[in-house]
Amino acid sequence: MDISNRALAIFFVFAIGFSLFATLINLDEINKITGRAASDTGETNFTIQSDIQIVFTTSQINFGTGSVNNTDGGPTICENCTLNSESTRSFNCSGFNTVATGFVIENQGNLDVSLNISSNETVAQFVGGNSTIRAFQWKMAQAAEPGSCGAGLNPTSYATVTTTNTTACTDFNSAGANNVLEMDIQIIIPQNASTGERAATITAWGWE
Amino acid sequence: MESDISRNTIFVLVILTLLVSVLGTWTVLTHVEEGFAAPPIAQRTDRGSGEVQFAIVAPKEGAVSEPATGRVVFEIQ
Repeated sequence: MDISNRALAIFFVFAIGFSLFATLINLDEINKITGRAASDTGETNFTIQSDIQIVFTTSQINFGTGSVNNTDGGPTICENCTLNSESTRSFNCSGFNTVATGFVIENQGNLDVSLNISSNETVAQFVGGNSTIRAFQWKMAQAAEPGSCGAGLNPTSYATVTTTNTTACTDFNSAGANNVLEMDIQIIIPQNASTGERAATITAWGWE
Repeated sequence: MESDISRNTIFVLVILTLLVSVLGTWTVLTHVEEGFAAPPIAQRTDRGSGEVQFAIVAPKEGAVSEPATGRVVFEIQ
């Protein structure tokens, strides 16, 4: 059976209409596709727990072993040996170490704190001998990182250690570049101090 | 009987059908390429947003650190 030209014409007109309709449908569907997430917002939550942490990064001062000489021929009772952590080692000291570095105390927490210090030994217990000569003293400084103590640095010259709490700094900073204090120690050993080993513990802690 | 449509008219319809088909395909492909191409950098930066939240928890009043210790030692002969 032959198809008439009229039938072919109707077929082609229908094909054109269908093609246009299909194109419009495709375009409409494509516009619905974004390829992107509906939201590009991110959210991060975290909590920093405050921390108070005081650390001795230099934790031992060892003056070594020695004795006190009577080198100037004066009364033995007046002779003494002075040692400190700033390289002082007086001429009457025989033996003993020259110590150039004191304690280094660092605030490794994330809060500014008050720093308290104390010793477990009195000067009489630690050094002994003539009470008018003997000494066991401490001194605070902030030479390595000035500004580490915002207020109340104490004592800044040698003062007798205490077994009760002493406030060494009322505003010890925790900031990384300004959070280090030094504590120098000085002892004066009378000639009549008893022989033997000595050890004293200095305790430091911070409180907010 | 009504006369049939000429062959020339059929030829024109065939050409028109092919043309519409090709144009439709080309239009769809063009939109597809635009839709899946990466957006310009300026658009992406304009739309980006983020949010960071954190809290520093203060210690209880009077909080104290663990004690740190240093030792002073010497020996008298």
